[in-house]
Amino acid sequence: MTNTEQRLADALRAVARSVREETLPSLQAPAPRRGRRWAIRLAPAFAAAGVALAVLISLLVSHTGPPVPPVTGAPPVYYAAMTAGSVQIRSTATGKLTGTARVPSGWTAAAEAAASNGTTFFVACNSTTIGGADQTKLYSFEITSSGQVTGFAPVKDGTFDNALTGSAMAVSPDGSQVAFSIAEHASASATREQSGIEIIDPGTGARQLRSGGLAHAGTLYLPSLSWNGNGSLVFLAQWCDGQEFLGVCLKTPSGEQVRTLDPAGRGSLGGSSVLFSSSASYPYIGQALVSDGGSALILAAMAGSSARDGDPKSFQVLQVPIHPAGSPQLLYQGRVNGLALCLRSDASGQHLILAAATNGWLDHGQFRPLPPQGSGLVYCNTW
Amino acid sequence: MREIAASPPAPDVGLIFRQHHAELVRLALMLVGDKPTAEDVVQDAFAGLHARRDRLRPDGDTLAYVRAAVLNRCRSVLRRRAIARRLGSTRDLQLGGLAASAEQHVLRAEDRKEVLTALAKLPRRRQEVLILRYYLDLSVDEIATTLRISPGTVKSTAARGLAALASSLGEES
Repeated sequence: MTNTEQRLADALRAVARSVREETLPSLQAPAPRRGRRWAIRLAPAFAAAGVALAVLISLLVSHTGPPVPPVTGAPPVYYAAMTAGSVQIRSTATGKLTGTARVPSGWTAAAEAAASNGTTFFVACNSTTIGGADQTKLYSFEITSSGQVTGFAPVKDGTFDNALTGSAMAVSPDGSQVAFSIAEHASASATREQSGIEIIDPGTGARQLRSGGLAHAGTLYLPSLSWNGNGSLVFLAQWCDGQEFLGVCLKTPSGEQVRTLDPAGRGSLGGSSVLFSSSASYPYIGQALVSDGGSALILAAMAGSSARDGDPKSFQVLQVPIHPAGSPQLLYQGRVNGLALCLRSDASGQHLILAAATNGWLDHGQFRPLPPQGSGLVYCNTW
Repeated sequence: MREIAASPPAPDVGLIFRQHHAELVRLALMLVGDKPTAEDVVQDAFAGLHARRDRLRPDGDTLAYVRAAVLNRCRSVLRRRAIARRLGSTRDLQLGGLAASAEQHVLRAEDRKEVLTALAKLPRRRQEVLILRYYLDLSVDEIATTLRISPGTVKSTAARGLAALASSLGEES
């Protein structure tokens, strides 16, 4: 055996030792009823994937003391922490659980967003049947003044066949439109999917799909969405050059652009203009939100040459003036191993909340941890 | 006395799964990267084969068939994750669940982490061949049967996988 073979065998044995026979659940035979499809939920898979995600991201809460713009006002009273099986409503001040929206069996929560009224929430769920057709269903609920969940129900005409959604979602300022990223197959048997943005009116169920039209080499990802004050949608487009594993770019993306989508455009993502592009200084943008009425962007970015090699890199949250253009202002700087997180702001745009290995919000440049804490337990927070 | 010709009994899928339960979960773990998913994958494979047990060939290599079923379901899970990630789903952003899970649950040694991370970067087929070879210690023919590829493909895939791994680890292959 060569040294490589020995190291490989040793590493695999170490993984194997983590599975102890006596701890395994009993195998369950399917019910004998003919024609019944055996389905198991994928939620544990997603939950565990979250655990793996958390390992990749180790946010260190040490802060280097960069200049931070003043933040005015108090953060929202409650925040919504999304896990695979539920959305937990918790007090920002105390972390106390006040309400829970449970995802129906057979579905797993994939994306969440809050309306600007701070009380209406949307959650997109993906079907979890292995071997079953891909499907996304949109739900909404309200929270009361005491943080309790009420009215959890599917959104009218909010079922999307042959499609799965990611974590990008945003509600328009007037609450009349919910946008979320989606990958659609042309049919249940199609193997090639196309990334796009679904926009649905939760009141009427009217919806439109925007996809295609962006000419760039590589696979398109849509990691984040936000709405501008004028009703236009801002999205982050990320292209992977094909060197990917499990859908992850192994190298820095071949291109990233923050774009604003023309509301009058139909069908295509092409009718959009570039607001910001990745650069040598910021080669890997993880999230991008529009702020200050469209005059600035909030970016979660990696500063450095590579974000995928496992080395700790500088993680920064920046405010970038775009109208007029100006120098980026550092809101937070920490360290992450890898780049994956969900970054959201409140309706005021003043308070940022993020989910990573550590769950928390940014308070005057300081990272304030929020429960629940657990490796990758929370996929996204919103308020 | 007239003898009645009896067909050989169908393989007992349940028994095979129970006998190899831990091994199958470990195999799935190495591909999907986390134990809950690995357990679900094996459960799902068991349920699927249990429903089709009457169609299994009595003289076939049932264990290889079972392993192949587990591998197929691992691919299904990975495809789902890839789609979710393509949409920007942060939960699925993982540089090879194997390395990540191992790092969290098992491995502290940097060397193992390095090896597993390098393994996770290999194409899926190469990973499968190397795992079957160096974890289950299967022969070339057994790997070929499990993956339904030719022995020659197994050899070339293993050689290329090892070479890539060695290169990634800074070793001479």
